Amino acid sequence: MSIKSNRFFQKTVSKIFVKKIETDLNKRIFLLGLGTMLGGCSAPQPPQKEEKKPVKPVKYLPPNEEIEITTDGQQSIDCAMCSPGVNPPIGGIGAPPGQTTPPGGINPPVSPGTDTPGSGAQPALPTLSIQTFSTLGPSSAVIQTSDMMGGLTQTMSNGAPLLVWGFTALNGGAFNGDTTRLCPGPVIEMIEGQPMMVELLSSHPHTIHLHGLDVNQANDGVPSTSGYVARVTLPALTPPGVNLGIGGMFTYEFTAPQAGTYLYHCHVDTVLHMEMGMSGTIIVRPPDSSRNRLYTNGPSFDREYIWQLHTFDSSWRSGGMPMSYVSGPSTTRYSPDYFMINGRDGTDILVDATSAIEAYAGQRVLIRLVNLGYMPAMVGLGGIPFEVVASDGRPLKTAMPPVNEWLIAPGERYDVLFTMPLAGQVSTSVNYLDISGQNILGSAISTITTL
Amino acid sequence: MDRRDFLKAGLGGFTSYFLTAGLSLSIPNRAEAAIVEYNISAEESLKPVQGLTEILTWQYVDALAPTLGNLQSHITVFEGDTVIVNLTNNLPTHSIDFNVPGLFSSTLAVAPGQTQTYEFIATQAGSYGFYDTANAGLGRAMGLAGPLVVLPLDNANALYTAALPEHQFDRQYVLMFQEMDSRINNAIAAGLPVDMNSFQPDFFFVNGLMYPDTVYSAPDVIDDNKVILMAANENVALRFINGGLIYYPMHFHGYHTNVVLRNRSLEQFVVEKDTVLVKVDECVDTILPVGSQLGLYPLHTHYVPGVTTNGSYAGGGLLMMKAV
Repeated sequence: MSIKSNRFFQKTVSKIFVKKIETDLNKRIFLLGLGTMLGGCSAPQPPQKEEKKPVKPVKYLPPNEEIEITTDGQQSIDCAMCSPGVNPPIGGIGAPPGQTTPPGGINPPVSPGTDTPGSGAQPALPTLSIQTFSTLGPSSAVIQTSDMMGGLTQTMSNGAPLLVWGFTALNGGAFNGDTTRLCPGPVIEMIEGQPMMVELLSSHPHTIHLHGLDVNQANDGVPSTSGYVARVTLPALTPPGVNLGIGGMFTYEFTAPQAGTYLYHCHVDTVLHMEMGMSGTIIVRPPDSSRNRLYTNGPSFDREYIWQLHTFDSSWRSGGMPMSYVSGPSTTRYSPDYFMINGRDGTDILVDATSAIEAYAGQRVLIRLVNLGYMPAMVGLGGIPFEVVASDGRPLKTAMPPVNEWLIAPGERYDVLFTMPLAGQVSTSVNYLDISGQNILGSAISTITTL
Repeated sequence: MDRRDFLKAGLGGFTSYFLTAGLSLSIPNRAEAAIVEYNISAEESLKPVQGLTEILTWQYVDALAPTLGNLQSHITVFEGDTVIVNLTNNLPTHSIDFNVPGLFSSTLAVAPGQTQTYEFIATQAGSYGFYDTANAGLGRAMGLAGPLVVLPLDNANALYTAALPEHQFDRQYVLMFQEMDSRINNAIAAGLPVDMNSFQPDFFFVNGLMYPDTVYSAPDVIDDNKVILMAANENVALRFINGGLIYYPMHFHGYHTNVVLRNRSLEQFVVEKDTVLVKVDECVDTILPVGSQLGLYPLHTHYVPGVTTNGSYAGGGLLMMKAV
């Protein structure tokens, strides 16, 4: 039985391949899941690039590790983790694992200046293909929580250890498979229109709210209307709003909505749990498996980044408040002092390959802006104009002229596209505003570098 | 015009007409503009809030309006109406004024104990807020704000005159967001100077109410007169009016909504949203297509501290949509 035809309540088994990808920059990214591959270098390149840069192919290393995860919506947690794999691995979005797809073949890079790509007579020139982040999906995902009493700490750029709660992949890490970055959680990918199952394992009361996916009430992840995580019976048999106790598992079942960018977060005592780090990004890919398009017939891109914007208030993590596990007088006012992209702050952002953008001149770069925090943020790309093409999982109604900065409010997503400059490096800015929108509280600085 | 046609009488201490189902059914179309007069006073009073016994607040009070927690007046007229507001200032020390950004501005202040008449024509249909501007942000921080809705003469179930079919609706709700920083209220109560630069609210309201009063009439009893009641396949207009001093990024569970107007101007680009930002001084009108999605879904600001009361979740301006 294929994954696609595997309906809910039927045993699904997935193998998630952990692949180590090494780029020419020796930046290692751990990849979980998706079969979309870094590609070769067959696309034509503008002549000026020929003189500036040597060929820099992306090396694709064979899988060095394989993790097998079995999920079973009907069985106990023990069984859910021990069944042998019998089904083919998930990975149906792009090319099969190990196959290199020339990205230029399906999505030639935009040629800067007046030059146009050759008609075939040009030699193959280098491009960076679409990178693949570690993700869960596309038909099922198992997520566990990391909120152990006593706390897991994440070291900030100033060396301070901050208490963090988060979501992680089962036997895996948080965002991008990183085990030192405790939040945001792993990216969940799914394919528009396909049945999806997200299983949450937790020993404490948590939920996953699928923000923007417009799922039904039972799968909405709101304790007062949907119930807590701990639900060992079939969802259909449990009335909404019934709390069956804490600790256990819950399986969210829904159909993936239209392609775009979404988010998820815990909706238990939300003000505290979300700020502590219990959130992440959801990407819904178009149904035609076009990895290089935002949505069917939508704009294409050569590179893809996710900028998850959020902040920490260190005072919410001191004075014993987290030990109480509930919001209250300690969380009356929110005054963030750490300003992040993808869980990194300060100078740590500059060396974080998930947020520092690198691509060749003329390539089209997609940034999925996701505001996981509580503060509005003004985003600028160092003067590079960019196009806002979609928001909250929906294309814009009409195309908008390019902008130089854009405001993203808490809970919003904006998908923005830009063309890489001919050369050089610029500093980008994410200026977090206070909730009145009047003052900049702090900034997260990253870079865009033309290779 | 009998304003009570637009109102639904309060059914109890918590009930506000804004959160009452079937609101649009009680608004008859009107063929021509009229003169509409409101007698509103500014009052200072102690209001109970959760987490504290009570805080000192200011309100615009319309004796003809039902009690709405901290929101005690609202104006609903038709396009072209001449609106007369007789404002009596019963605050002990502060002069105030009456302004409707986008529709009417006046620097004429009313001293304590005095009455001033403001007159203007509701020239353009849409959602507005009326505010005190004589005390900079302090008036709003203390609660001096109210919603003002101008309905199109040609169709009370549309967001503007000669509206496109997709900008007409089956029912509508008016939702005004406000917040208070109890330190400010307490400073006013004590006669101390206030520092608005440090304004950071700890209490949040929708139509003058705080959750659970926005949803429940008794513990665990959802009140259909309070939730945003919707029916399958309806198009429901939600008029978001920012009566406060902070941003309200309003997140819809269960649905995407269509942003139609921002401060009475058609939104051309970013229309279909699950999270709608309502900035300070902004009114955003959206129409939600219910479709076949039934159930109970929260609607709340994603500035999640705004979903707390004195720091405790859930509270503040948490609303529920109920589609039946």
